[in-house]
Amino acid sequence: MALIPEDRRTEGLMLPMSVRENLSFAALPRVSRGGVIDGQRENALVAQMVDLLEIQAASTAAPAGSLSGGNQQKVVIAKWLMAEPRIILLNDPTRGIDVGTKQEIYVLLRRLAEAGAAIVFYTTDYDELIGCCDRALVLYDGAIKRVLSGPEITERALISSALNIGAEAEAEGAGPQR
Amino acid sequence: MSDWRYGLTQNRGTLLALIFFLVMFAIYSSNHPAGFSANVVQTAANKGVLLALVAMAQTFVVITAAIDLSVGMVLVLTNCLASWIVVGAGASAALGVAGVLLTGLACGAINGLIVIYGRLQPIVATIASGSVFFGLALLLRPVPGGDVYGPLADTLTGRVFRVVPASLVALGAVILVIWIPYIRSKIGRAAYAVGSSETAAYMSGVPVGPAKSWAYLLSGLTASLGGLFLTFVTYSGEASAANGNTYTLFSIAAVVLGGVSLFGGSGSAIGAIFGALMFRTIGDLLFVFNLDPLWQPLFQGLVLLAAVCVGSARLFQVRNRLDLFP
Repeated sequence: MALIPEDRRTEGLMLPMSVRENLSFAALPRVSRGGVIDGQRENALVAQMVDLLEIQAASTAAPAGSLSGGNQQKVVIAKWLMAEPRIILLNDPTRGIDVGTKQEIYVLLRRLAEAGAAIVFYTTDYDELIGCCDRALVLYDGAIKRVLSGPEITERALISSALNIGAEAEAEGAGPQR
Repeated sequence: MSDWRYGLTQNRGTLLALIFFLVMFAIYSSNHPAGFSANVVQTAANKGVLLALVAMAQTFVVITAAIDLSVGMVLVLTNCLASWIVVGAGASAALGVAGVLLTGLACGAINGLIVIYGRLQPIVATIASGSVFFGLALLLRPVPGGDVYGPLADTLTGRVFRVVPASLVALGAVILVIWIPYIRSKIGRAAYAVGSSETAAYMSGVPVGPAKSWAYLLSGLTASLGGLFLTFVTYSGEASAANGNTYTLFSIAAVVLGGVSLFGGSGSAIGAIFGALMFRTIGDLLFVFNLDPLWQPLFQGLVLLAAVCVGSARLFQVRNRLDLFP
């Protein structure tokens, strides 16, 4: 299980430490043997992740803090992918990163989902919900107010249920629910 | 690409400490009345290794962004204990050494338990535990005295191949056996992560609790090696509060001089060791230049202040002051 937190600067990365070290943290059991880190294996896995996510870093020995926001976020995601999680929780993963990187992350998530991972994606961006998700759950007042899936996920349906205005009436109009 | 350049930046503190130490020691030995002789080096090494071990002990804890104010007292306690039990010959002395090291580990374990599971601030918790350790030391040695197994003590404070101080060889062995495996292990990597950002470490699934526990354990163990070595040098045990406090404060100074960040997450015990040797050399320099020994604390303070300034020089490189507090 993996958690990609909201604030990468305080919750996701050890900024002064190198990209390589940051990448291995979640997968320490995978890169070490009997508690000792296997340098070769670590380098191999790190290189694999850097390639997979196309992380733009001067070197894997460079401090994580020297990377751009988008690449920092890629490091956070890559860190968890290295641990081969089956459930991935994402908390607003595309906040404050450039459009190109956002696209790359969407494509990657899609690929992971197709490979069999369960992805729970929390976001405040409607377009992301519409574009990425298979199912969207709208919470209001501490409870799931509405479950939308496939083509039902529209901006109109999302906003009305998020504000809990006439959700029932809207549901009547929008067609079959659930 | 240029991996070594990043490595260099990361180890800048260690390198600076090494260079400063070499320069200071060169000045010292060239002005020493006896010149650069094996004897001079041996005496300096024996004094330096004592502080170096305590500084190394401090480093383990400082890397996790905490501080251990009991290292000096662990040294005093294990010194007093060693003057009781590292006696007799052969197996008896060996058992004594094992007992001393176990006591060091136990002291570290107590600190770790209080700080991690008792959730007290390390500063306060280790002042308290340090007092307890000193109390035990006083019970063991109300007055200075005791003995130690002579041949072992002489071997470790003497010279190897007539020129190399045995204490430096022993220090090298401690680095090889404790420090190198530590930084290559999961737990060592985790310690740096915890010191760098505890929240991020926790969120990344790093074993925060075990990393901290090991830091305190190894700190206790290394401090007890210092206590053992002090017994070998002095052939006796002494429960001196002044000694304990001095070693604690000097260990922090040595750690700073060695480029270990007090904010945690960076630095190396090797840097701290050179910091310790450097700090010791300051005192010796005053001696060869015939200055009043009373000047020693003043000079040590000035050098420390200078080291902190150099360490903060990165402030000038920061474009946005908010970057300092991520």
